[in-house]
Amino acid sequence: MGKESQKKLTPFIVKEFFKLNPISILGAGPTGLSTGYYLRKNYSILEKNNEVGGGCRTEKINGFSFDHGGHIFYPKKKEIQALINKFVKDNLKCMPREAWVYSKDIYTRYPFQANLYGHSIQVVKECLLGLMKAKLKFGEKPNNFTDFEDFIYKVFGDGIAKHFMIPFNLKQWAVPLNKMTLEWMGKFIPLPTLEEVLDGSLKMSPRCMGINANFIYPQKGGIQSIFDSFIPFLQNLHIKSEVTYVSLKNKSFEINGQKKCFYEKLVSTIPLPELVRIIKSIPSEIRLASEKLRWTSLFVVNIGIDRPAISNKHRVYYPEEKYIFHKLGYYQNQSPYMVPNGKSAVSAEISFSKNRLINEDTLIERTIKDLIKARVLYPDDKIVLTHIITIPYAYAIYDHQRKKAVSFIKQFLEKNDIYLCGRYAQWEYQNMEQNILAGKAMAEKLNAEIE
Amino acid sequence: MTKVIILGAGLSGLSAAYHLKENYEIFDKDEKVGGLCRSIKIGDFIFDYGPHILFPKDEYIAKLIRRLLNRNFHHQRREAWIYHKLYDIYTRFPFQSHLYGLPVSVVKECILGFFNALKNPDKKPEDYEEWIIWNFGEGIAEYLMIPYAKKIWTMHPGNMSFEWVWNRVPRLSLEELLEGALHDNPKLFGFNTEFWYPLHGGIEALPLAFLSEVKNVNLKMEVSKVYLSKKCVEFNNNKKVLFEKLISTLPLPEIIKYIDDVPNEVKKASQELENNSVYCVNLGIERERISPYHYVYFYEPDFLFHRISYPMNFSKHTVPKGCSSISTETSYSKYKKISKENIIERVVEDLIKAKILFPDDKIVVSDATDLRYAYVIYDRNHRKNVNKIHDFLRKNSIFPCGRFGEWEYFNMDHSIASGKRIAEEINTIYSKGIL
Repeated sequence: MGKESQKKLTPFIVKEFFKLNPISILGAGPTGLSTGYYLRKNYSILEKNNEVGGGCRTEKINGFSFDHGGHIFYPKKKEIQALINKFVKDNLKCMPREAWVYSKDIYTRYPFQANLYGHSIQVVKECLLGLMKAKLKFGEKPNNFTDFEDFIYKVFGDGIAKHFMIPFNLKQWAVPLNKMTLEWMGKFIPLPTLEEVLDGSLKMSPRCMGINANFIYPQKGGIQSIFDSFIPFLQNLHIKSEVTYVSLKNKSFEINGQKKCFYEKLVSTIPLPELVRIIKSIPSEIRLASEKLRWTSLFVVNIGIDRPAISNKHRVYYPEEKYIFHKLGYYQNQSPYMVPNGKSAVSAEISFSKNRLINEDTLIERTIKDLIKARVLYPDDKIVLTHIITIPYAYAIYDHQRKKAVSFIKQFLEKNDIYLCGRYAQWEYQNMEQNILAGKAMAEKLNAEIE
Repeated sequence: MTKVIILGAGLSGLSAAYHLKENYEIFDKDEKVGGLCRSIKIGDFIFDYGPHILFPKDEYIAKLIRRLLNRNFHHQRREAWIYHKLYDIYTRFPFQSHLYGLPVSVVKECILGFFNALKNPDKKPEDYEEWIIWNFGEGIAEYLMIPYAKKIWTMHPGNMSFEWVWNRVPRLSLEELLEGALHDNPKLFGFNTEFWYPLHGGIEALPLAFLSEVKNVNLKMEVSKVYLSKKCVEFNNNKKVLFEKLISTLPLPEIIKYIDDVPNEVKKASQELENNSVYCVNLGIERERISPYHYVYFYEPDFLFHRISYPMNFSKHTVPKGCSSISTETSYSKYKKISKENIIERVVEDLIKAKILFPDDKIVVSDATDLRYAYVIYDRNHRKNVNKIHDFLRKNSIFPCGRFGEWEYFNMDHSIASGKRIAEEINTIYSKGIL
């Protein structure tokens, strides 16, 4: 973090309090920062943590840096690329993704279905046969899916479903897949043609598929460095300022349970259930709607190892239930500054929810055991650091109730001049670029309204 | 008087004699029995009139062959391969079940084509070309099936019917296609995955074994005329023989030529029958074990022959110690003429091109055998013409029999079965007294 950034980052100061800004933004993650950046009116940003970044923070411990979950940046829109370049150009590196799948004791490239070469004949055959049968039965472009599970079987067939899609997604989402809709998917899941699957079955393919085949990543400071670089361009950014109480009647809120502020417009980027929770005497039907929201939580178990270069990959997906984690990240391969010299780190992601309970007390032990089982660690590796990041809200679950519940809450809040913006407030599957765009759109809307 | 006259002492003629309960006489123009099932002995090398292997499906025929050959035969697993000069590799036969080893782009085309063909199962084919595409898709069809069909049949498969195909061109499931595309699948496909072959004497051992169980065989007797009204066959030595029933195993166009009184429409039908001929070049080489295979298919136009076989691997007793043998087959017909000039040298050249022979290999024996009637071709009018000719012959007490009498794609077991069938038909006629 530059000196200038530090100067701007101050906890909330009482005397500024009564100089009420018309717009208050809750949360200084990518969305909140972007909203502020694009606003042409006075505003305040209130962040409960002692730094910005939200879901894109980076923890620095003993020379290791760990992001809050694996983050890579692959902006497709020119304006976002330009914005990021303006902020952090020299610190960014573009690289081809090294994403792999580990299953049945071998590594194949991600996505699974486009890189079957290397699996046993039986597995490849089942996958191809299943895909072809699905295509013969449901056509090249099936539609009318009842749920995510139905989608998997119709689009990929039962071989790919059995060997990857079903077990992996059950681990990642931690909810029954037939409870999920497809609204979240958009362009996130690559849908290879039979030709591409055949290519990947008959030979080793060096090609990455999907939306993020190449990505950019900061060289110093982890993913948070991108969002730290917003700070000099913002005003009234307050850390350690958690909004704990909102009164719709008075259009006021409390910070850290004490200070009362008034707002004209409130932009919330905090998780929707959290916002509903802090609103005073919210109508019971809104509370009920909020209770219908489902989400996946995530543990990121970070392990520091006294051995250099334990992997040459960026991330590896684990569909098999015998490993507690569904994903491992080796972020030192995205930037060498993520680990001290001569050391390596591995970040294991473990989803949890009501449907998939994880015992946090034994989590580190279990992760290390499974890392040895997966031959990532040697039994005699010296572990120099263990650390858990808990992400209570990792993914919103698009179940059959989500859409109705979210729009119901949103309508109600907007009538009270509270606007929902970003991944957690809109309860959507947005990536960093989409967060920045959501903030921008919100700012433009408010700019227009106020003028 | 002899009631039944049999023309031709090939397998079907011998089988007819064997199964007949009435007295009969067999006549053959050659000095040996066997017809197309003869063998050629040159020094210690034995070659057949075109490669012959036994894979009887009918239990009775299988038993009969076993008994006739006694202990003089053995079982083998077929080793049939396809050579791809373009990539200088061999893949297993049949092509469609063993794509593994071909370049990825070829394998992919073949699988995609097969898959696309499955999308339109209701588009029924009308000719052999369409049948190939309908069954195997564009990729397999264009890469191998159609080029090979053109080579062996000497005509475009678009002008052929596909009724003969049944299990001769092995069909396969999507799963079998994938299995064979993903690894070197040793599972064999097709109707002759295992075969029998005589240990001693070449394939001729089979007709010779028949010979010991039939009588009244007259050799070097070539038909010159058949008088329908007099029910008389005349031979080229002017000998005349009367018959009540005549079993003809001669090729249909030949028997029709000998008959004195043939209606024009039958003559026309006979002229329209299509068949190919095969020119066999047989070579004895002074080098051991030049190949582990039985058959190798050559679909590319680079080679004169469409198939070669290694008699030495059918039975080691067909070659002298330290030697190998190759038999090559080259199809020809009025549609595709071949020059027979220097044919042995040209075949040797192509075998060197295929890296089967070395330029300095010593060829110790060579032979060129012309099989005038090799395969019946199922052109679009095949069934109609054959029926017309058969009706005419049968009305005149002439029973067409065997591969060329019935004018079908028969193997040895089918030919034996054909002789049996005709003999039984005649036995029934006599036993019921319906003449």
